[in-house]
Amino acid sequence: MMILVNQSCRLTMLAAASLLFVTVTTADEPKPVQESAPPATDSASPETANAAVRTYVGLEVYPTELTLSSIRDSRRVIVAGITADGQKIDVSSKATVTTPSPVCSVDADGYIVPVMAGEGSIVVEAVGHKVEIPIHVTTVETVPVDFIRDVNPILSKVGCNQGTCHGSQAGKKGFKLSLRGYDSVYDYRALVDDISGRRFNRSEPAQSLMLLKPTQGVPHEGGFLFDEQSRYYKVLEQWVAEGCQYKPDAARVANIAIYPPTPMLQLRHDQQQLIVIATYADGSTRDVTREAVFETSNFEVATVSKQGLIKAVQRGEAAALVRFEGNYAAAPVSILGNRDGYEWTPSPEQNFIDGLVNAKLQRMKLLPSGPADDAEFLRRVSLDIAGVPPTIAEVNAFVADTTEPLAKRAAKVDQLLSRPEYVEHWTLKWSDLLLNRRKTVTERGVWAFRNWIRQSVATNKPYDQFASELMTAGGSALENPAANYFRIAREPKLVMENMTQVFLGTRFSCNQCHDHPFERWTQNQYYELAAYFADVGRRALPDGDEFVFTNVSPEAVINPSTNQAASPKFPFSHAGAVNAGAHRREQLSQWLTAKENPYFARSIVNRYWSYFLGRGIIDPVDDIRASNPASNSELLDALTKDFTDNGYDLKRLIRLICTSATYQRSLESNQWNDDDTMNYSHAVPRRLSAEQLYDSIIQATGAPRALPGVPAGFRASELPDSQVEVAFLDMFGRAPRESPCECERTSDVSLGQTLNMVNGPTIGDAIAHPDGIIAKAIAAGATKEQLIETVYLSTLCRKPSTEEMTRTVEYFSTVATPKEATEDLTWALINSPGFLFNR
Amino acid sequence: MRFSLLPAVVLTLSFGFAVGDSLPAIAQDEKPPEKAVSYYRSVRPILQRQCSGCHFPGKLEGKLSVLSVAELLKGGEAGAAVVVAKPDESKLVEYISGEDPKMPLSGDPLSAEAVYTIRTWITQGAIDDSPPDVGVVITAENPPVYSSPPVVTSMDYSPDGKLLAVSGYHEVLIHTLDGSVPPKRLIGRSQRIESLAFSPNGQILAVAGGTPALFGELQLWNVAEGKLLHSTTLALDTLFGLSFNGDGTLVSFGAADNRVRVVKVETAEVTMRMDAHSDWVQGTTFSLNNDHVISVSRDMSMKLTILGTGQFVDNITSITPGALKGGLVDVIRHPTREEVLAVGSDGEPRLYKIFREKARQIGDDFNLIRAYSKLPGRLCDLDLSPSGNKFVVGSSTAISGAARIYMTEDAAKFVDIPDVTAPVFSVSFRPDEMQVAVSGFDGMIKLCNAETGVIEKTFPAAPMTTIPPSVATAGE
Repeated sequence: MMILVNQSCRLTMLAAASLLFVTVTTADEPKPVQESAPPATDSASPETANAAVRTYVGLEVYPTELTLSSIRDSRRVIVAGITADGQKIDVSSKATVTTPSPVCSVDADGYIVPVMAGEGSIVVEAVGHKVEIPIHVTTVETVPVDFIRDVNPILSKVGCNQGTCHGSQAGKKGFKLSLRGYDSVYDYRALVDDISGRRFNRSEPAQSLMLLKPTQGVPHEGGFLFDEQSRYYKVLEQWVAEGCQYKPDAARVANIAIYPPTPMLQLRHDQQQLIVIATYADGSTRDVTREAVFETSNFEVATVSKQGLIKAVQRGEAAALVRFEGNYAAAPVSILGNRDGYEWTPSPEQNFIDGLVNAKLQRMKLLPSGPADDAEFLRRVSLDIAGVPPTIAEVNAFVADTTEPLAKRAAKVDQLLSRPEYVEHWTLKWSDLLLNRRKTVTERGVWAFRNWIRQSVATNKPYDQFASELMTAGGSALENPAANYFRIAREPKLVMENMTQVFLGTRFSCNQCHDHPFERWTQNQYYELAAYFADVGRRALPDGDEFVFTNVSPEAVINPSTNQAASPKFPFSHAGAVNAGAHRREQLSQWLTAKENPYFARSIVNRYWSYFLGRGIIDPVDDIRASNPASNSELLDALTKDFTDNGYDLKRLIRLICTSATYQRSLESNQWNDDDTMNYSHAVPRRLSAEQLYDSIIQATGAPRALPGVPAGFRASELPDSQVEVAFLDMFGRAPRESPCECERTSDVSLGQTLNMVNGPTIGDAIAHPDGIIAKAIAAGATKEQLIETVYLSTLCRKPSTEEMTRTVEYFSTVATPKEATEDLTWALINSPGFLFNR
Repeated sequence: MRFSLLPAVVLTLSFGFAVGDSLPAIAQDEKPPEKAVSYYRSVRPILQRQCSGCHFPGKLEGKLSVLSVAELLKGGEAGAAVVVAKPDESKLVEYISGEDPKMPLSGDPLSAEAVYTIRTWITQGAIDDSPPDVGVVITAENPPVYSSPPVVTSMDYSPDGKLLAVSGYHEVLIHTLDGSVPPKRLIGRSQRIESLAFSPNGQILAVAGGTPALFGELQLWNVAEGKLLHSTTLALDTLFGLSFNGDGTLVSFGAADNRVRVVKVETAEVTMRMDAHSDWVQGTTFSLNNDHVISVSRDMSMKLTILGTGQFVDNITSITPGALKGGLVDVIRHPTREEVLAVGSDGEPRLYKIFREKARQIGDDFNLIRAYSKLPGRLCDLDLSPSGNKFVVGSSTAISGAARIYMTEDAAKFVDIPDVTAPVFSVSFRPDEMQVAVSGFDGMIKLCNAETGVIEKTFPAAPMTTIPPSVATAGE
């Protein structure tokens, strides 16, 4: 470590800093941001806290009646015991199901299977209570086993077609299936006509290789998967015996639903059985719990077994992810843990956001923190809306303002929204997302495109119009700079990938080579959607400019799986109007920005929310998919509705968020919310972005702004792109604008950054600058106390506490000159979390 | 001294990703039950693979069959192969254990793990946990019973055109074309027959097959007597793509172990082996001069090998342009020229020169003479007429099938066989060139007029008890 030490450093600084650190860090120690595991407060004595002490007053059975509409339809029920205090505890595993009726029977798994057509009932008994529910068996006509409906789901369920087995690129041992069964024709062929029918044996179905392998009747590296008595075996055996049927027109699964949709478990070791119901395109439904594939999003909170049984591990939230036949669903799982002593106390609600956030907090038995104080709020909201901390004068004026606090804060939000810094800050964000960089559009193009974005932000252009102008842009890229969108990505596939990630918040790049592994998106859809950008023509102009136009003969977007040019088709349809006669990008734009598009408005609202609260309601914000559920979908729905009902007004959205009590909460947590990372019960610290940090240092020290390649006075957030070389900004993770992923801008913390903050010239030079705040204050004859107050205000945007003042004054007396002492203080505060983080 | 501050700063800066490292224990349900060795899942596959080639009812070396627990308990000449709970008194354990075990006679000793598995199973009581219908051993005395026709993977007309040999389950069925007598049944050890061929003089029928995932087997039958002359167990999975040389003294075939082998018909000994393929070898043929072997594989290549030395000479094709995954499945040599026809997954038959006349360049396809019109799906089988003027090809999309007769010299001319609906896995040209046989997934053999394609006769590949309607309509 010695070699890292700047020889010119002054010993005094150490003392100053260590003194001040005590004060700074203990005053409001930051809370873990995201990843630290919540304390396992509920894990103690699970046995005693479990069912043994629960008494039940009744039973609730879901569903309340059953209809079996095919000979191979089988259904199960889930059973909840109702406790005296109204809790519903899953007791499905303790329940016995019997039937007095001849129309159905109950199999070994507890599933009700049809015997004959007619009406009947089943009796469910558990924890000393009994419920009878009606059963309707509509038909028991024989139906042959079908590959798509019956066989392929089993291959998925037992894992034959997973990526590590026969679903891998080269298959295994000469047998290859499509990854997770996305291509049923391919899989059917692999079983039926590859090597002339090697894998089934119609003469003696039990001797079929596809049955001998999973039962280990012959050596199988993939191991033993099921035995000859299992349901899976019987289905596959019957399929072979019936001649390996394939109905290409078989109804496909339209969607799957999970019951209960939002499982809530109390204690460690509590369980909840899930039921998965698939709805087919023909409207029929089927219980696919035994064929669906289950996963947990967080096994530290809850596990989910292959049979769909959730087990609580510890307090927290997770999602049970379910996959069946290319359809995905997720059920948010809450584990409450032991919350004895918890009591909800009403918390102020400034707008609809707070009601919806508080409802979730109550559900999770969390208690929100109190409001942030004025100085804390002012710094937070200034950084979030305008990208810069408040000046000393602003802090003093705001704190001294005696207007009613809510009105005062709302007025501040409005004032920040009208500042030029707001325009610069959001221009920077959109320049990142739209990947504006000179490498692709030349330096003139960068400035032109940046000005277009700036204009859009400054005029608060409705967001749907903003997107639409980009999608349909044409003409000279200098005269109509939105057209640069099509210079940045030059081929249909890339334009489409960028578009989906930014404007739909989804990642289509995964399904370029295969169907999306965690979503319903297919490979075909990737090419069909890309085809909307196939008619973009580009022609070079003599001065380095380019002319973008709509080509009458679109280029072919070849789908490698069919070797055919894809025709434009939307991956999902909605009720919004699309003019089929318009050219392709016009149609795309109409489809994209329609109010009915379930992703467009929702994704931007979620993205903006994350900019202010540190975490998206769906997170990551640009990876929206069924298997990544919202932590509070009611909140996201309400925000989206407000946004679309009010003209896609981004300023209105920001105003709503910033004036909510939720946004204005203190960083300080309490015993009922200190483990909360996703429900917005307290503020979370967010590291300043590279540009914010740089500009904050300059502002805090009063050093002049002198960045390379731009006129003096430019702030870092005003730089056109990352080609303007500033090592400090790269080190702190500014976006290189290669990909539209939010993850491109990093907020990691590295040793290099630390050393730069401690020893680097950016900070050292700024602090010691002869025209800086310190130099000026000393020249003006400021007292010790005035100097200390100035530094606290310029760095942390607040006055020092009495204790901080006392201790710092003491420290000043140990240092030779006030200048040195003031510089030490500035340095130490810049290196403290109160400066480095937006809190 | 400022350095001593660093830890504090580092700590402060890095709290954002401080992760609690105390992983909570995940609830363990219960301990797995004590491991019992399963005869069916663990012991049986070992015996099937490494012992049953000689010790099965068709061969009964040492009067022992290892195909069932009952037969192991009964034992052979040396005594009981298995004595319940007494591994040290069980001959099976004695014969396969030790530094230089007695068995297998030829081939590698069993792995220590395999021996341990067998010992443990005997110690635990030699329990037979086979599912009820697995104990049945198919032999000539206990022939296969069909409830639906077997999938036909291979057919061949006898040189005199009177017989048609057809693959069945565990057997080859030799049909007389006039239908005068029931088919003769050559029942063997292999479940699956992948390829069969009459010798040029029609006296011998060679059969390549095996039981998938267990063993490969070459059978050589005396056709007139219905007698098995040789059964040779080779590789750990089935053999494919068998063909005779010009004078009927050698047969070549491919295998799932990626090898090409040539075997002497008289002694059944392997005289050549070639290892250059990187995937299953599905078709082989001899050159006109009988000095080379040509082989095709799922690795999408067609390779030329010197018969005498087994030395790999050349890839006759470049990597087959446009070949789908699955590669090439069959190859056959022209009766009078050093040319071969090959078919594969891309649906397009192609005619190639066997020997290269120009220096090889990467990606070239110089040897290609002609490509023919495509059939839908993958091509599964091919046969040339004795004159070489015509050839017949069968194809499959798995859901449907097609068969077509091509004119070798004129790619524009062909005759489609109408009314083929099921996937076609096997085709054969009658030596008089007047008829072709077509069969496959549905197990129904169609004899068609080679000029018009019209189907003249249809019959099931094997005698049956019933034909379930589901099979009759499969593929429609």
